[in-house]
Amino acid sequence: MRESSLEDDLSTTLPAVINAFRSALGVDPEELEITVDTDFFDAGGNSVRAARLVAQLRAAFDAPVSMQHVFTARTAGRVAAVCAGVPLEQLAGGQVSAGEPNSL
Amino acid sequence: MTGDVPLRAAWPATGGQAGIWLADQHLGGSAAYNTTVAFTIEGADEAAVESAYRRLLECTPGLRVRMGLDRQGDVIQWIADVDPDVDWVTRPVDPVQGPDVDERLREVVARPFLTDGGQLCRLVAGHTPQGNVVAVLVAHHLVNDGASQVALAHRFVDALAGQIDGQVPSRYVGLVETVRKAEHRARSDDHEYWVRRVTARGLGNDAVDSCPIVDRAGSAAGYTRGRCGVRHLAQVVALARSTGASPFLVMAGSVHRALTAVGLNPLGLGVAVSVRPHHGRDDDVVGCFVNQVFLTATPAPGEPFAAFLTREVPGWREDLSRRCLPLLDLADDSQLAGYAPHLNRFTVSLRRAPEALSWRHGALRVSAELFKRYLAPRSDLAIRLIQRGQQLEYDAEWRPSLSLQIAHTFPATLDAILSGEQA
Repeated sequence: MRESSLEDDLSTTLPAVINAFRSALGVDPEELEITVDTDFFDAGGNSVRAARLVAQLRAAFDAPVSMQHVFTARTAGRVAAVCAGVPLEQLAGGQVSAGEPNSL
Repeated sequence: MTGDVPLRAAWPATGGQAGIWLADQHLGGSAAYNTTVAFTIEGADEAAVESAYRRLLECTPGLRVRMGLDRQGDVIQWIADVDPDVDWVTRPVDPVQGPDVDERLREVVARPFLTDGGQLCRLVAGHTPQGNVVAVLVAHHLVNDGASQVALAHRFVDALAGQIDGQVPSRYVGLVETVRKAEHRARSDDHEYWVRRVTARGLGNDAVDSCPIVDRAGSAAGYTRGRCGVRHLAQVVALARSTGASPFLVMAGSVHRALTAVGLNPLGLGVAVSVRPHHGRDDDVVGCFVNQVFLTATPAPGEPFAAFLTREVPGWREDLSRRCLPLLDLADDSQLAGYAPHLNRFTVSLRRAPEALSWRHGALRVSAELFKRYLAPRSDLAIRLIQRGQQLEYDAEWRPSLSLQIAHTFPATLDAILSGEQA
């Protein structure tokens, strides 16, 4: 996937992923700011909440998102990349940025 | 799951099943929950074995269960059509003996199941140089527990002999509902009890910092099988009598004591327990109906083991009477966020095994080994006690992250405590 195309896709998927993070974690925007770099598990996520997140992502993107994707990708930006169709192995160790805004 | 879920035919998993499903997903492509029953078969050819396996699946709905997520993120299950997964290895294999599966079968035995919607059992088989068949029935823990494993062994042999009876799906579904109702009651009756129990010891820095877990990514998981003598079991029984504990609680206490002795300082032990109804009429239903109970304990330096048991056992008995609250609920409780990583670090289970299972139906002769070792650890340190008549064995499995010194010291320490040499 070309970089510009990835950025376009991320700008579309990231807001929905951030909303899904917030819903699965059960937090309001005032309680916790979720950004592209927010790590789902550092923010209070666990397996149960990851399952809720996966269900929401599947519904939102009609994409074959798995628990493994969330356990591996962890951050909102990387999960958004997965939802945009980026293979997990391309994300390993790298940063994914969708540019501004990086939070909702 | 990544495919279509047949929602109309699906129903919720029990809390115990959901906990295993999520733990399996967390491990990601692991054989940690692959259970095995290994048969040596004389008097049946490949076609007969494959036919028996198909018949076993047809007559055992619990083996056709698959699991995945629904649209709310809850773990659900459904019963799929019969789709036998049989692998034959071409090289000769050894008859079943000892804790390990023949290495020529192991690759298929250890192949992870696709638990997100895939089938959860397979058969792998080969021929011995003598012309007998060695067949290993591999079932994910999601569809098999201790009671079920014995039932599975009998049912496969019944299928080989052409005598298997069909289990109706409603028995499996009914048992799921029974367990779910018990879990529902436990959520209202026992949740606060468990929050108090888990937090009672407190989560001081010592509980976290003194655990010598090191990062050794890439190194292999560890395993050992220990065999205790008759005196060990006699010691366990004597301690059970003098402290009012069950033999199992003495064994669990020994494991806790040994963990403390090697410096692991556990907050408690995760103990695998059955949540099938006590009447036993459902023990032949193939499926997984277990929960993990977290037994907390406070070690006191210099305290004799019998005194430790006398102090802790009343609480443990109460814990076990409230066994139906899914551990998953505690792991997801915001009050216990700091404790969640400790709930599944050290686990212990007990299996009561006959010396050997064997059958004879005319020219058909079958023997089975039900307690092959697991192929990957499910927790930092997992102890599986196996009682065979008057003998006591144990499997100890540990993650690569456990300090090697501790991993190697632990079995001898447990042995000394079980034998009474170290009080």
